[in-house]
Amino acid sequence: MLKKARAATTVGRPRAGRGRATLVALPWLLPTLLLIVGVVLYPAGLMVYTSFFKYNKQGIRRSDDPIGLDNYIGPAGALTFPGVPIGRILLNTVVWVVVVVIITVLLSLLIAQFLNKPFRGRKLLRLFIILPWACSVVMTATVFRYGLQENVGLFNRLLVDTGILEVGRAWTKDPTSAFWIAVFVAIYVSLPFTSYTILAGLQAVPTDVLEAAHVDGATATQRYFQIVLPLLRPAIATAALINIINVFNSLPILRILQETPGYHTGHITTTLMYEYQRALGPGVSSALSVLNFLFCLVIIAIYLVVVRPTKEVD
Amino acid sequence: MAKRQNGIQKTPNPWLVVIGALAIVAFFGFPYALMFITSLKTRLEVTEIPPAYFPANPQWSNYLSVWSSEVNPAASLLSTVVIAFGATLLVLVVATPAAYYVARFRFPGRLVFLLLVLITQMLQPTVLAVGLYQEFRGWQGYAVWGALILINGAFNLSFAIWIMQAFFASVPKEIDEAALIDGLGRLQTMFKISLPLVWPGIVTAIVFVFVNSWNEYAAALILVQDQNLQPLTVSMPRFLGLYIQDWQYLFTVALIAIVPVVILFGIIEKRLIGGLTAGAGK
Amino acid sequence: MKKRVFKIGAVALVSAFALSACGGTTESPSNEGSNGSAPAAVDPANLETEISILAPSYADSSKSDWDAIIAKFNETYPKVKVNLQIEGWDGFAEKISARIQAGDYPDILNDNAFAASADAGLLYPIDEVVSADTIAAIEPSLLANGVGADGTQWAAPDIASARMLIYNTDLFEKAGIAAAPKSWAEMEDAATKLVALGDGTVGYGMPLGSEEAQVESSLWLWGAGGTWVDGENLVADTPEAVEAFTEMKKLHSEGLTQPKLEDNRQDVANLMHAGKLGMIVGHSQIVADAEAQGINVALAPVPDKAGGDGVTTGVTDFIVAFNNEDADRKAATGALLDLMYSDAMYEGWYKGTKLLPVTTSMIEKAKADATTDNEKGFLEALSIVKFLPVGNTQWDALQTSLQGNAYRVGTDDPAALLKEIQAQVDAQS
Repeated sequence: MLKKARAATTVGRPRAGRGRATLVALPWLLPTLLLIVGVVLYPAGLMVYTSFFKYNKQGIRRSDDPIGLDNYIGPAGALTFPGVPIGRILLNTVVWVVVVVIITVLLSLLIAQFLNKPFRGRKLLRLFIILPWACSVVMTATVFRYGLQENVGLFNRLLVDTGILEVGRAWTKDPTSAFWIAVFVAIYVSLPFTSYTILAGLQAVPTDVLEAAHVDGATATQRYFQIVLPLLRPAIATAALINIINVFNSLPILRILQETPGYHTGHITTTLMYEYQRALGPGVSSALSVLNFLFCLVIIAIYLVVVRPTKEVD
Repeated sequence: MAKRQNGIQKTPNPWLVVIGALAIVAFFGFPYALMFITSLKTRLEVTEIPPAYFPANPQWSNYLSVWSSEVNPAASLLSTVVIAFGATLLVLVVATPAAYYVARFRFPGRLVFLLLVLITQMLQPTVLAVGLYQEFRGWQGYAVWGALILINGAFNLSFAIWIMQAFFASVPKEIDEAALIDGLGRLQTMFKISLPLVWPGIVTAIVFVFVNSWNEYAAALILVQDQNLQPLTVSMPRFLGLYIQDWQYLFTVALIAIVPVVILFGIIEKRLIGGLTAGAGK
Repeated sequence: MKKRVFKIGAVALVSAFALSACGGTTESPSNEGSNGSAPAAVDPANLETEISILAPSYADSSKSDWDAIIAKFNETYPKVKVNLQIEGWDGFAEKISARIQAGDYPDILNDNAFAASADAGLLYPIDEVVSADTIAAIEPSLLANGVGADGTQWAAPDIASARMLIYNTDLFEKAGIAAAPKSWAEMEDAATKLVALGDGTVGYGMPLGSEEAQVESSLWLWGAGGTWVDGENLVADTPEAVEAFTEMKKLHSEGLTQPKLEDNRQDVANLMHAGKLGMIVGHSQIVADAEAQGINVALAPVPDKAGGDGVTTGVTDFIVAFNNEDADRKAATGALLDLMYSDAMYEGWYKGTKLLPVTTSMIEKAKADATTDNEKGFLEALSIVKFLPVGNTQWDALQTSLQGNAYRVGTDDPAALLKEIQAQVDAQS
């Protein structure tokens, strides 16, 4: 079965020469390409262009000629603006992505495994786990922020009443505690998608193979690590990949849960970009967006080299 | 722990099930319980110190009066539904052939195509809002739905293509070839033979695109000028006004908005199970 | 959720620096001859054009309040199509920024700032768009807030709010404080007595979060006898500012303020409404909400260092008119705004915002209608309020830097902090 699945991908051969093969592929790929070029790449090009001009905070262009790399490393540049702890922010970004994605994938494996079992009410439970997703990231982050308010927050009152805290704490007004709360919420809202992807993968695992292994005397642990996990690999790899990108670009969670103003030590590059957009205008924020994109590209490249999610299909 | 029963269709330990189920309900339910409690409070109760666990006088009327508020949640709900359905449909139409072809054939530029698709995922409407505005500012009135469908579709393509091609790739090639020999065209083969076998992947893609479009904020904020066409994500924050903040209404609408997604999910889940049984019989 | 808060003001003095403004950067299309009235040749029944309005949502009724004006306008100008766009606070600035960058200017914008657009030559001077009568109807002390650094009346205030010291009279009585404090020393004294009441009572609420930091720190600066304005420039690290920040730090370190200086106005207002806060500088809605909760409060000017007359600050939002180089649109814009500021229309509109009016006649009427001393107090303050320097193009940078850094006065050295704020402002000029 396994061999069959692998073989399937390599059988397809182009019918003709290399150039013609691409040409034959085109009608199948064209709608995708049109949408990408028209809706994504065009504004992306504009962003790069914008990063080389001077703008004020309101978005009014203040220079006719390009200003070189001033928006990147000038006096008010993205990397050099006074008071911005840029090293710490880059470190935060890596911690944010790595911690959120790894914990999300591990928890999701557990949840998916559980929800894949046959028991009454599992369908209802599956509906339950999509709540954070169905309710939108923005609203979920908002309710956490509301519940964690120092005085009016009900979560704080609960922590005080149960004796865990002595007095309510302003969780979202300290860059460090707010950062870790945001990590929690980011995991929380990533779980539905990841669990679901893995669940879909689990359901595609053929039971006859597992039963055959069972008959052959393989233990449950052996079956999981030697049969189930390898079969789940494409689903996990893809889910992790999409999670890395989404978590990296995630703006609302940190933006809503960080109540400390300014360039504090709880930023990641994406929230810093938003801060720049509000404070310094589109020139500097586009410059950081460009850098942010390159940073993301590097992280993804590392991931692709290490995990090789395209191995199966290549 | 849960691994012992893994995979083999044995009924799991009932205690394990109860504990696991309770843990999941508590973990995934508690923020929404707070939302629900708050939605029943009055405007002054939501900022009370200390906050009450339960409102003295539950304001069930919030669930009625919110519909006639000027934020007009009914109109926003319609917009959100149209945009989310439209974008999902668009992605299915555009991504399925691409995913199928990429999974079935190797051709020069295949990897480049896959990477290009991946790169688009790294660009978000948030950072491209201004460019998108320049491109689509002329699309006002109902055309703005079209613009948002295109945008949501484009920014969610990559996941759909990647996940679907992974699933297509796992369908044995021989099945396709048999169909081709039987005289079906490529397109027909894809629709009639391969698609039914990859339901789990397609459903995952549908849910992903639908929910992301349901939640999209940045592009809609910039583009939609007519209040009545704004999706929920843009109109809901209007409950938090300059000097008056109606948290109770905000959470009321947020809870109402969960319902259609859960219903949709419930329906799709059934298809998913059906697709699986079909797949298992191969 | 982050609210975009509209608070504005320009030191009335700014107009005095009119002459020093550098010429040439503004390319106003101003036609001196037509100053004060819309082109006369227009026949209302036949004026056929389309204009757009972009405005924030002040309250639930904002859309219908504007719609009422537009409906009335269309009775006289049936062929002018008015596109109204109302947006929530969240994301309002992004929305404006996107439209400006794309060169898609609304004809009428209701916003909290005008200096940058004026400096870039995007605006009509407002007195060139609306009639002289409309300009004359606006309370002069508030109108001055819409004057740019070059002395031009770029913007017309459309709504105001005054900030005064609000204090809990029951707590004052309990703590044995006879009268509202006038000097910093009296304020410390009062706050100390309030905190001594226990039960989590906070003496003074100091919101230095991103919403209010610029207002709160300006009040302390003015109280120390200082100003941000230095000729054409705005300067943060003056000796008076250091003195003001030192005093703020003192109040916090002695435990007289709420623990978290990052708090926004609503956070400390909630304390006031719970009867746990003695003093706060705030606006009329805080008073209204407190009274609705059965808390007794009274008003006073904000104390200053020496115990003089105190300071009171005002905030106005503005109407600005973008230059879309179309005489018909300009005429329609002027006519619509004239109608909006007329007593018949303006009364309903401003009441919908739950804020204070800007026209002299409505301020007088509101005073006459006021049922409590507190309502009256805010209205009376409107003629003496001091404004933030919003007409100066550097204000954006200074304001943003104050909003992002002022709360750090609780932990950092005041002089070093102000130097850092100054460095951020300098980097942008």
